[in-house]
Amino acid sequence: MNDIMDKVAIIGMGCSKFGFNWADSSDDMIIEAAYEAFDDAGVDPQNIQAAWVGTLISGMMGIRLARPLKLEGIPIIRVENGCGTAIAALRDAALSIVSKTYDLVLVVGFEKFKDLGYNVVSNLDDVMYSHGRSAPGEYALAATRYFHTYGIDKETLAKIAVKNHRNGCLHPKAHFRREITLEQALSAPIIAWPLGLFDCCPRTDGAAAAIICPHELADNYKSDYILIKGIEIATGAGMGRMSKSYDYCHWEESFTAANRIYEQIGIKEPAKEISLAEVHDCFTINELFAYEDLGFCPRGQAKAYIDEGFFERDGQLPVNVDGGLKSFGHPQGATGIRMIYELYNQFRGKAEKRQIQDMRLGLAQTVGGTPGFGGVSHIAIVGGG
Amino acid sequence: MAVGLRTYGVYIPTYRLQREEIAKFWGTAYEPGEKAIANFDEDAITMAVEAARDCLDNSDDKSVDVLYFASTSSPYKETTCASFIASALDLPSETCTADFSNSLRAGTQALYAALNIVRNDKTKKVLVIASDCRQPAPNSELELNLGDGAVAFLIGESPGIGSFLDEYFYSEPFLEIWKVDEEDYLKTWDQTFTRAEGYKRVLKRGITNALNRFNLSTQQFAQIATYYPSKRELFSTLGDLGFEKKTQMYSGLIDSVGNTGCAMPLMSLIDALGKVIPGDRVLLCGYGEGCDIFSIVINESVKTNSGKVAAEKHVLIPYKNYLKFRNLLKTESPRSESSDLLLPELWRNIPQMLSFHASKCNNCGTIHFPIQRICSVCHSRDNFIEVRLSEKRGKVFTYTVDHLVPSPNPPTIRAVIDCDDARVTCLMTDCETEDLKIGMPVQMTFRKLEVTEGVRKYLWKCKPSRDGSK
Repeated sequence: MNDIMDKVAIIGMGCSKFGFNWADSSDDMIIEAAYEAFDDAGVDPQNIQAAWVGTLISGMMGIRLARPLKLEGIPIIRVENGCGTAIAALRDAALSIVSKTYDLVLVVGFEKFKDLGYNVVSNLDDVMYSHGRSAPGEYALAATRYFHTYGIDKETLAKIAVKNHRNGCLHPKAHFRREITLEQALSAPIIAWPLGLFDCCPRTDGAAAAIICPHELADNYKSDYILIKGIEIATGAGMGRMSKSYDYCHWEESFTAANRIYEQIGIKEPAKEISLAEVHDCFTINELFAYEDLGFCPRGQAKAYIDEGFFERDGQLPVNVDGGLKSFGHPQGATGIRMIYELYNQFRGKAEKRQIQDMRLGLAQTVGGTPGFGGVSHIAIVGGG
Repeated sequence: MAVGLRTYGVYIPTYRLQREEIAKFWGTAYEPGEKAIANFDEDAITMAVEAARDCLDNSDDKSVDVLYFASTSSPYKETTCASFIASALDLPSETCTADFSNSLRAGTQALYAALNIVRNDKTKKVLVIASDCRQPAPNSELELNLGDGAVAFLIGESPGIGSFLDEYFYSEPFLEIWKVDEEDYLKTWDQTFTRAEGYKRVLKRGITNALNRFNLSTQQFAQIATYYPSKRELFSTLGDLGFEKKTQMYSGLIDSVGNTGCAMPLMSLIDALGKVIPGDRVLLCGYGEGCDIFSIVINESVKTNSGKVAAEKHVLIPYKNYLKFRNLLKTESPRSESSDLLLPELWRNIPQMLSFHASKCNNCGTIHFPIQRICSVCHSRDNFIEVRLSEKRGKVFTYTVDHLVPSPNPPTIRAVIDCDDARVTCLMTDCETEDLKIGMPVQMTFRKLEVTEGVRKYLWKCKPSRDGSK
């Protein structure tokens, strides 16, 4: 069942500069992203009928969006779904178009981390695991096991980081715009063995916005809109940490979401049919998992594909051509929409030096949670209008 | 009526600090020897739990009616530590629990109370645990000698390993070593005074009186097991009384484990047990503002070498690690975990955090830790029994060495442990990172997770299996 396919058009998008935006407030970044989208769509903000706003920890309720944009009276709902918040917000907004409830809807995702310094609320509702865990540490558990099972080492992961930094250099809004060498990546300080500094994405300030409407109204705004082909979300119960059935070498949630969305859209060979994928490289091991979970390569064979440059910008299936979370940055509430912002610009031939030719389908994947503790995997697929 | 020492257990932390390391750091003189150091996640409570597990492991009958916890270094000034220990041991809530504190004689006082319980009702079993983790001032004489450790005795109906025949008590307000709220560290005074007029005079008077009361001579005891502040004091005090240094005294503890406070006389007794045969007598002496003296007759041989206590596997650490373990350096970590004290949640989780209970599905047998009300395999609802995982052995399925997590002693090791029928994801402790590998065997250990607003959060971690352990 896929009620979304080709029914919802994205007619305008915006994205703030990502980075340690010391001088910008959340409001500044929201205004920057939202007004780029309003201008892009040619929409008067006061004509927006409903809005969804995604943020992990940077504010509560729809008023977080209403205040800076002066949106009075319309329904605005705050969405939180971990690191996949943005795609979750987009999905709910898209369903409101599918249900014919609204004709013009705004989605904004944002995060303002760096006002908190190093300290980030890790408000687990589980006192037994309230101490002694970190996000890199949790993903490192998976990396250690994958290394053991498939005989790869840090160099394979380092190649992913090198690729994403190289790609991020080409995007003016990316957080880190500096190439790194394989040696730099391999000799960087260890954060949580076996993950080093360059295996980890930064905590970033940023906002991204999308304006959507029914497909049949899209031509009123522009000719080069894009269409949502599907959005799938799969959630895990976190049994991996207490059940021997979990191998710590994949995300079952991503595998499930991918299979479901491919079936809905009719994708048989994702590596051939998808032109460009933006995946959740919060840690390099997670981009590797995405290759295998999303069917871009067979299980356990990511290394060979990485070594042959399969996922490079000029490879058969480019992944994270804007730099990904690693280089573009990771404001949790904004990330998924940032991914779609890149796909949107690619479809419209506006990706400058990053431009991929012959765009057919674009995929965005975000994952919340950590391996073993359970995750929620979000996949959106978009196509040209 | 004679009361029996049924079984005993001991726990010495993995880490040892050589006196040479301390002296080198401060540029002071030293004598050879080393002492046991509790890891950063250990305290008197956690060590007590480990010693008690060892003790009950040696007992066929695991039932305990009374649990006495003795320590001069209780983590709480008010709150019964014994209740936490009982929960960590998964003893029934009907267990009588009490703490004995404030004195180096806390261990022997708890023992005397236990004897009286059993004399009153021979069906009772009393678990006596003495545990100390005392904090001497850096660069003090005490720092060279104080060690950490715990010992546990199961006291019940005679005969058992040994029978307690008689006691003698002597009390005197002599200030030899003390701790007050206003000070961070233990205090003492010029030890030429405190040891001459304190330990030596008091113990000599006490033992002389006790032997008269018991109507026995020094030669009628095969071994004497006592608290002692140094080998010199042990040899001269007992030598003056006529005990033979070579045959009746064992002095291995002070140079291998250190002065373990109120646990020391009971640890000495365990070492003495390795040197005696049935029919031998052992004299046990606790010391501190007086002395507690017990006459014990041995009923059965114990399969342990003298020096069992000191022989535990250990790892030497440099002084700087000790400073981190004890939080003796003022630090200002930019990263702190914003951990609030959620007391109701802590209370709800006692079965899992302290007693290490998991759920086992009645329908399909699947074990989940933490407890899950709905089985992930057969989806039965509220159809499980609680099972305890503390004695599970497992192997490391995967691990990480995390340098990001705030810790007094980074890095933090987290591991996924697979046992025969369960998987546990937990922290690992007492492990050198270079030893870590997938498949390494581990056992479970009760530790302190963190301290929030003074409240100790305890839970079970894993540690590398100790060689030769049961």
